Amino acid sequence: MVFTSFEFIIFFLSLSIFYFSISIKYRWKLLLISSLFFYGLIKPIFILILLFISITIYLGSILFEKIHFEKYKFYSFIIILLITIAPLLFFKYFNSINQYILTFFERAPSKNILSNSWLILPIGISYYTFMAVGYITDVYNEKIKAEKNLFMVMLFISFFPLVMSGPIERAEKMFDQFRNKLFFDYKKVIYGFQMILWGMFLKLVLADNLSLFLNPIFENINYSSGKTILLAISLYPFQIYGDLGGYSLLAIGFSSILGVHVRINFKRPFFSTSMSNFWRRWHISLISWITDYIYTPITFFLRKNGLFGIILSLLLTFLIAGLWHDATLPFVIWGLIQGVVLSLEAITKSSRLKIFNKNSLNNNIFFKVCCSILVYFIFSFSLIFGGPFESLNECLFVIEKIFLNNESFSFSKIELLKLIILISLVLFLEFKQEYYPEKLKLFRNKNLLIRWISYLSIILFIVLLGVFSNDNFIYFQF
Amino acid sequence: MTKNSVLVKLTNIFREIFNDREIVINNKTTAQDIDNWDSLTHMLLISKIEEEFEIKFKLKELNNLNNVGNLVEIINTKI
Amino acid sequence: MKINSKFFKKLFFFTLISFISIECSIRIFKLTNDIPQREIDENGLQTYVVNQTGYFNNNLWKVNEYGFIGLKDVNHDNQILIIGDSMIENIMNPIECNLGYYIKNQMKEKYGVFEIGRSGMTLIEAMEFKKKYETIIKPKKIIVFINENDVEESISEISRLSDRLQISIKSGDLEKVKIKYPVLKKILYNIKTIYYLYIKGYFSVNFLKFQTNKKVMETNYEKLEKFFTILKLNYDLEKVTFLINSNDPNIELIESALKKNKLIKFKTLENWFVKGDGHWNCLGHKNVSNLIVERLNNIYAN
Repeated sequence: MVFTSFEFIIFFLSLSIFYFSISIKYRWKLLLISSLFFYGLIKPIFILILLFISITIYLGSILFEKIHFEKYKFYSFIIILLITIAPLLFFKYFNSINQYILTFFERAPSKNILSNSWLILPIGISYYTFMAVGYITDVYNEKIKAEKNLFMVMLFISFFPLVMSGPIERAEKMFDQFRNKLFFDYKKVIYGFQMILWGMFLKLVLADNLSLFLNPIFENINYSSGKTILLAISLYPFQIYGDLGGYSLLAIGFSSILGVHVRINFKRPFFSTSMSNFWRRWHISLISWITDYIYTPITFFLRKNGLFGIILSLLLTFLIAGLWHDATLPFVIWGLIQGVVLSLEAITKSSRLKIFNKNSLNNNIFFKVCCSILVYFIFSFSLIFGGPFESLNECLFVIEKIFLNNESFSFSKIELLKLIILISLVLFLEFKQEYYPEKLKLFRNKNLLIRWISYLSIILFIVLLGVFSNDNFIYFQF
Repeated sequence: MTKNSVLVKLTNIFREIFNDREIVINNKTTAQDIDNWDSLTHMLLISKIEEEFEIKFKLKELNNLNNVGNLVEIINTKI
Repeated sequence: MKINSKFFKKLFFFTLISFISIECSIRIFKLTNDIPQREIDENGLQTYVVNQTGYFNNNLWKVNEYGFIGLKDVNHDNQILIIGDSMIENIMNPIECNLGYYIKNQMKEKYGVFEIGRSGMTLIEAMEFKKKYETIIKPKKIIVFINENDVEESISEISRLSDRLQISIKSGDLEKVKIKYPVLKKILYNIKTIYYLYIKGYFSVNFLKFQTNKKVMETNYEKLEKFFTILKLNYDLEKVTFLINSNDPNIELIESALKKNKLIKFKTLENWFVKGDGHWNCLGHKNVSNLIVERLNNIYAN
C-alpha cells in the first residue's frame, strides 16, 4: 500500500478520524496496531521481523544498563548488534552471495539449490534496522535511557509512515513524541497537508513522468544513441529526487498530521555548492545516520593518522554505503567515486576557502549556482554506477557509448519539453527558497487567498499531469 | 588546571586546526558557530587535543559532546 | 475543540473549491472521453439515449433520433445498412472516417448509408437489429461486421454475459439483457473527476474493465455450428454480406457455415489501428471501405 494510492488515502482517513476521537493515552496503541496491520499487508510473515528486531533491541538495551563491567558490556553490545542486523544481512546479501558462489562454480543460476522466490526483500528492512541500530548504540553510549515498555519500542520500529523508506529517525525524539505529543495540533496538521501536497507533486508528477521517459531508454541502451543516454543520465537525479524526496515528504506529512514531527530528508540538494555540502542535503537522515554510526567510529579509530585517516575513513564509509545499496561491483565503484571526490574536497578545503574569501565569492549567487551545476553533473555521472544499470559491463558500455556514439537524439520532443518545464518549476521554487526565502512566499504567505491558490495549483498539477498507474488506458463501456 | 586555562589552551588548538587567528571560543560555542568545523575536521581537532593535553578520549564521550563547555568538562576529568 | 471546528470548516471549503476546479478543468480541457448513455428496449436491444452529444479523442459525436452515432440516410433508392460493434460505431475517430462516409464518397452519392454501430454488440444482436430496421430503412444491401468475439459472445451456453444480447442454442430463445451497474455509470458519467481518475487507473479495482474472452474455439466447435444453423433458420440472409477479418479464429467454420459470396474478408496491417487501442484508425476504415465498394460495384455490374 503505497502512500500515493487510493487504498492508503482511505486507510489514513479512517485511521485519523478514529485516532482523534479516542482518548490521547490510547493513541500510541492505535498507532502500533495500525502500523503492524500496514506492514502485514505486504506479507503477514514480515511482521515477525519487526517483532524480532523490537524484542532484540528491547532486551539488549535493558541488558546494557544492567552490566557495569565495561568489557562485558562491549561484548554484549556487539552480540546484540549482530542479532539486530542479522535479518538485514540475510535478506539483502543472501541472494547476491548465493549468485556469486554459483557463478564461481559455473553453474547456471536456474539450477539454484535454494529457490530465490521466497527470498523477497521485506520492504524497508534497511530503514528500520538502521533505526534499531541507532537506538541500541545510543543506549550503549549512555546518550539515552533504555525504554522500559516493549510496545513503545515496537511502535518506534514499526511506525507506519517511516517503516517503508524512512526518514531514519532517532529514538530520543520519537519516544517523547509518542508519549506526549499525539494531540491535534493545528500547525502540525497544516504543515502535514502542505508536505503531502508537495510530496505528491514530486512523486506523481516529477518522478513518475520522468520514469515513463527514462526507463525505456535505460532498458534499451543497445538501441539508444549516446546523446540520448547522456541526456537520460543527466535527468536521472531528478527522478530519484522526486521518488525518494517526494516519498519522504509524504512520510513527514502523514506523521505530522498524527502529531509526530519527523526530520526533513532532502534540503534543496541541487543547490549544493560542494559535494560535501550535497551530502548534507541529500537523504539527510541516512547520511547523518552513517556519519554518527559508521563514519565517526572509523575516524575515531584512525584519528592518529591525521588527514590520511580522514580520507581513509571517507573511502571506507562510502564503500560501505555503496555495498549497502547493493552488493555489486558497480555500487562499489559508485562508493569509491563519492569517497574520492569528498577526499579531494577535504584536502583542498582550506586553500579553497582562502580563495573564496579573497575574491568574496561566498555570497556571489552566480558563482554558487555554477558550483551547484558542477556538483550536479558529478553526481549524475556517479549514478551511471549507482543507478539503473545492473552489471559493470553495462556501465562501461554506457560510458563508451556516451563518448563514442555520435548518433543524434531519439525521443519525443514534446515529452522532453514537458519534463523540462516541470524540472524548471521545481528548480525555480527551490532557487527562491534557497536564496530569497522571504520573497514570494506561497505556502507560508500571510494572505489566505495566495496560500489557497498555491495549494490549488499544485493539486491541479497533480491531477492533470500525475501518473496514477502504468496501465494508462482503460477502455470501458457505458 | 582551571577551566579558564583549559579554554585558553583549547583556543590555540582551534586557531591552529581551523587556520584562523581570530577564533574566540567560550563554553557555549558549538560546531555551528565555527565555519570549518564539520565531521571532516572534527577528528583532527580531537586528535590534536589528545596530543596537547596528553589524554585519551573514549568514543562514547565524544558522542555526547554538545558544545565546548562539555569538551572542557571531559578534559578536566582526565588531567 | 473550537480550533478543530474552524479547521474542519476550512478543510471542507477548500476540498469543495478544489473539487470544483478539478471538475471544471477536466471539462474545459476535455480530458475525459465522453461515452453516450444507453437505454434498452423490450426486446433487449440497446441503443443510446437520443440527443446526447460529447467528445471522444476530441471528436464530436451526436446521438441521432434512432439512438446511434453514425450516418442515418433513409430515403435513398439504393439504401445500404451497416451493422456491427464498436468498430462500426467508430467513436474514437471523426465521423468523416466512418465506413459509410467513405462508401458514399467513392460511389458519388449513388448510395445512402444507415449505420447501426454500438460497442459490445454481439452477432445475434446485430441480426435482431437487422430484423427491426429492415422494415424502416428498406435497404438493398446489408453489411454485418463480425468482430473476433462476436460469435462466441452471442451464445449464452459459452459464457453468460448479462449485459449483452445472447441466444440459448438449446432452447433457441433470446436471453434477457440488463445494463450493468447503472447507478455507478450514472455517477461516473456525471462526476468527471471520478471518471477521470478511474480511467487514469487510480482506483486499482477495475470492476468495470472489459474482459476479452479467451479463445475457446476447439471446445465450442459444435456450439458454434449449431448457432449458425439457428442463424440461417431464423433470419433472412438474402441481402446480407458479412464483413470479417481473414485471420479470425473462427474463419473456417464461418466460411463453411455461410456461402462464400456472403463474406468480405479483409487483412489488417499494423498502421491501421488507433494508438493504444484495438480499433481501426481512419486508414483502416478507408481500406475496409474500398473492399466493400469493390463488392458493391461487382454486384452493380452484374
